[in-house]
Amino acid sequence: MTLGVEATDLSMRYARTTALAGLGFTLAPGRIHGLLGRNGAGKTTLLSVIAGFLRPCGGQVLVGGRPVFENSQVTRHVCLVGESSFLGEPSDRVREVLSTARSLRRGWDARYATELVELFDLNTDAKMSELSRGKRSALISVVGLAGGAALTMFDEPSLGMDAPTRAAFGKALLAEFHRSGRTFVISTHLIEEASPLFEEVLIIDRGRLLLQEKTAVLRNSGCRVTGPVQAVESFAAGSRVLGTPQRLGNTSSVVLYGLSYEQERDRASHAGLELEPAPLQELFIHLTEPTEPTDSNEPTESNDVSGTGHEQEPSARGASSHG
Amino acid sequence: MGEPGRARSTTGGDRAILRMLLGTHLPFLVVVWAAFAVLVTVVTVVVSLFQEVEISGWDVAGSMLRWVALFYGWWWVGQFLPVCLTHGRTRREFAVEVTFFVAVASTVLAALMTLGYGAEKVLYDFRGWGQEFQEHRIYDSVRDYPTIFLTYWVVLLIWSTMGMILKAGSGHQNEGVGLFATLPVVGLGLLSIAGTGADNLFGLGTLAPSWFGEFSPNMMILMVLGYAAGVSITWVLVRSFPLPPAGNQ
Repeated sequence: MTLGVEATDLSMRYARTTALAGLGFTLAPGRIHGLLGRNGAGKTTLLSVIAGFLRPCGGQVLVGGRPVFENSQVTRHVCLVGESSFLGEPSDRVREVLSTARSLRRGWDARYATELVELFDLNTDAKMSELSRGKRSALISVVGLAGGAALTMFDEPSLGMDAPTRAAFGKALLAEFHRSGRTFVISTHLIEEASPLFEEVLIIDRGRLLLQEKTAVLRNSGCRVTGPVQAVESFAAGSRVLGTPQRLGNTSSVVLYGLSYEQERDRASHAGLELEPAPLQELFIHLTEPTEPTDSNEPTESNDVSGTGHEQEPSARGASSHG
Repeated sequence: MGEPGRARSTTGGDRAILRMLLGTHLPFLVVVWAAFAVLVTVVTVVVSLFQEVEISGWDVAGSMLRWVALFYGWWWVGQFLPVCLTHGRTRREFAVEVTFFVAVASTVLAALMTLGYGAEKVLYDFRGWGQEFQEHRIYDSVRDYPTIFLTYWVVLLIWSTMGMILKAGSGHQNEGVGLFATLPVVGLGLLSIAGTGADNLFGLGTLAPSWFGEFSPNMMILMVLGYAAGVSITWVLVRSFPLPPAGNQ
């Protein structure tokens, strides 16, 4: 079983803070979606609204074609776990947390949970307050994966995990995805590391959808070129350079925005340069840079970073001044 | 887009929250009561080494129970509601099943507290001690078991509801709601104190005995109605209780 998400004009306010401002998108079922955004962009609020933890101030979210808030027929199949999720009290032991999940979560797979506990080397007698940040994240991952929810969302699942544990989580997630075809949404700041998992990426900024695109297409909207300094400068002339060029001796490496890796590969090869798809993180930083006042005489850069003419949501178009 | 048909095939109504609470929390509460009974007995015996025992230790210690109920009410909304939501349960399921459980647990605990008075009488008679109650109680004899039971029952119901209202109101994103929520809490607290003689705060505990005598069915009905109003207020607040709390987004 798998579920998609359809959000229309979602808005959410906390007192004087606007967390979501007219967000609209569709998440296809049976995929792994990445949700990216800077701190305070509204990621946790968005996930909370999709999970039915929060009722939006405006707009609506449909999961599997039906409203989610206070709809037990839908929430049964939705799971949100993460940094701010609620698995129990700090004094609760790991086995008590898992026992509660088994009692309340329909579709809980106890055998799979035991396998994951062993995979992440969790001590079931330990209290949650005794777990390190990484072990707590591992426990959160166990609850999300073993819960079996058709739509499972992880909010910063790998926070504090060491590299081997993050790799084990990614491997377990992919294995479960291929086995069950469940829909996963993963919010993370570890963009480069997690991006290979994502089929599609949503980037939100200040409560608005900045971009929704397939990961492969997004990567193809920029490229990293490496080679002799002069050749690189010549190649990059007239292009937008993201971040600071890296130099080592006579070798330079820059990330160029707006040049397609696929289209520029031959030109780079003829110039004796190495070309690779742009790091997603560089593109993310570029897209979410604070807005700067623009000269009205200067051409405004298109927000269609894919270079494919892909039509953006109205809210995304409004963000074209970023960058 | 989605598979609504399949989602519909597994509807709610499994009462998982209630079943879990009855299976884990109720036995836990009984164990806590047993430990409480042992503690009160030990303290009474120790006190008897230094002075003559003239009042019911169980009656004095029982006054603390409502504070436990208040804390428990706070815990329901602050800790247990988020756990329920995380595991795919709705606020409505939480409200209905927890309300039912609180009613069952209050009944069981009130019965155990009443039982404690009887057990204490056996001990006190054996040792020749006096088993005087607080003068503001609406019961003055250990044999008045129905009144003792009803007193504890209604106090546990009301004070746990007060705790839920306090937490649900204080966590609301609109601070005015939190302030407004203190009004029914204060009202319910005063009602229960005046109606049961649970305490003698500001002399309120003496009101019920002086107005109604030892036991007033009308006052009891009023308190049950107050409890029902409290449950309604709790539901209104819980339905809009923000999770994660404002500021954690």
